[in-house]
Amino acid sequence: MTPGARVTVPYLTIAGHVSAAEVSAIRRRVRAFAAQHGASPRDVFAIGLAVGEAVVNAIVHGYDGGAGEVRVEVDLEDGDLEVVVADGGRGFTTSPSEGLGLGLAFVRAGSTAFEIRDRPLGGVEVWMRFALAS
Amino acid sequence: MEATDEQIALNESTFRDINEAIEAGRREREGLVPFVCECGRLGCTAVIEVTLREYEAVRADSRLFLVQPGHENEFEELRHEDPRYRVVAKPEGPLGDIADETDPRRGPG
Repeated sequence: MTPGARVTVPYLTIAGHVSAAEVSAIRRRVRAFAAQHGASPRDVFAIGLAVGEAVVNAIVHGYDGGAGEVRVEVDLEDGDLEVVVADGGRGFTTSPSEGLGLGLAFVRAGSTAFEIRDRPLGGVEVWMRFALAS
Repeated sequence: MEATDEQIALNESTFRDINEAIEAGRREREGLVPFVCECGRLGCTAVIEVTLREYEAVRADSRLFLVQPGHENEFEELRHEDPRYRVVAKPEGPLGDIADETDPRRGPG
C-alpha cells in the first residue's frame, strides 16, 4: 500500500423515520452488505434475522409499535461484521411489551456477541457482532 | 405443544444471556434496572426491575435465575422472594447441568 494512502472501511448506514413497513427493506440491505463482504448464505440469513428483530424491537418497544427515528450502522471490524441498531424511543421499561424477550432471543442466537445499551440522550442501541465464515 | 423441562431450562439460559447483554450495556449503575424475566416460558415478555447488586447476587450462582413473581416453574426451588422478583434454583441433575454448562460466566472446563 502506498504510504499515506487512505484506507476505506466498508460501511452501511440506514437512518430515518422507520415503521414496520420498512423492516423488510432494511433487512434486505443489511443482508446484501453482508453477502457482498464474505458472509456465507447461512450467516447472511442469521444476520438478517437478528438485525430485523432488533429493528422491530426498536419500533415496538421504543415507539409503542408506531414509527420513529431508527439508525442502523453496519461495518467490518477485524473481519467481523458489526451492526448497531439505535433508536431514540422511550428506552427499556417495565411496561408490558409484546415479544421483547423473543426478539432479543433471535439477536442472541444469530450473533457472536451482543450488548443492549442505554443511549445518553434517551433510547436504546443494540450492538451486535457476527463472525463471518472465512 | 408443551415445552419440556429441558427446553424450559435451555430457554432460561437464553434469557440469562440476554440479561448479561443488558447489564453489559448499562451506563447508569445506580437504581433499578429493567431485565427480562428468565422463566423460559414461550411467550413470556415480562420485564423485572432489580438493582445491579441484586442482579449480581443471582448471577453469582449458575443455577439461580431471576423471574417475575408467579413465573416460577414446578421443578425449581424458590430461593428468594421479593415483591418485585423471585429467585429460583435449578435442581441437581440434568436441569442443573444445563444451567451450569450454559453459564457465560463459567470458563471452559
